Amino acid sequence: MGRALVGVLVGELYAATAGIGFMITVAGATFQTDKVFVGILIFAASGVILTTLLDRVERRFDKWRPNSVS
Amino acid sequence: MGVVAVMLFLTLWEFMVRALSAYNPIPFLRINPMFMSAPSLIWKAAMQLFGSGAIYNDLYVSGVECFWGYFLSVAVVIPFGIAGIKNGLCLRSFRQRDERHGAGRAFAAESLSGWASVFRLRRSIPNAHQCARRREDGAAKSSQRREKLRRVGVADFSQRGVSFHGRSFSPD
Repeated sequence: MGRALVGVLVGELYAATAGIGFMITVAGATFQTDKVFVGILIFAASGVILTTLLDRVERRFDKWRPNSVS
Repeated sequence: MGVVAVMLFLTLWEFMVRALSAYNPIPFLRINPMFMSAPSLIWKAAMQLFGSGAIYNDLYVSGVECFWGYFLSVAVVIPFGIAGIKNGLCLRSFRQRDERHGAGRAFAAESLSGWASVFRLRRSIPNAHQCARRREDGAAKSSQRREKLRRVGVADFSQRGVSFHGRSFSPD
């Protein structure tokens, strides 16, 4: 999930006309530091939330896996 | 402890920006707020962005990009990996398909066979407990079948082989 979000961010930083990454680029170029931080916080929050959700889905579907003895 | 540390960091950040603002009486501690943000300013900007609705289109665009990127990677790469596990690292079959039909069709075929494996997985892969139970059930059924055949007199299983209707077959 982290890599997907990094891909979206980097893609939008360089080649996009809309999106949070594009908003960060525009805000950074126009010295609107607050908006830059808002964009970064949105990416961070979505990363945490989506990773937690996927973790739960993964735990739901790997019940068949035998317990590994460590 | 973690929450306290974060609160302390945010308070310190806010204080530093306020103390080092453009209105600071000490000249060398003056910084332009344009280059330095503060938690309260970020919160204000977020409220303004969400309140005016200017950010929703950007959120939608980024969400669509993220969804399609993630969905395509799941649809292609994970089945490819599962096909590899099921077929014993499917590189050989992939290479053969690549040579015959090209990389695109090879990828598609391996992914499809991976998806077929995904649908079979839920039914066919038992856990360790189910494996043991299946082994025991199989051994019990096999022994019942042998006993029945021996009782009827059709076949007799011995250590060396099997006799069937009076004719014996042995591994030798």
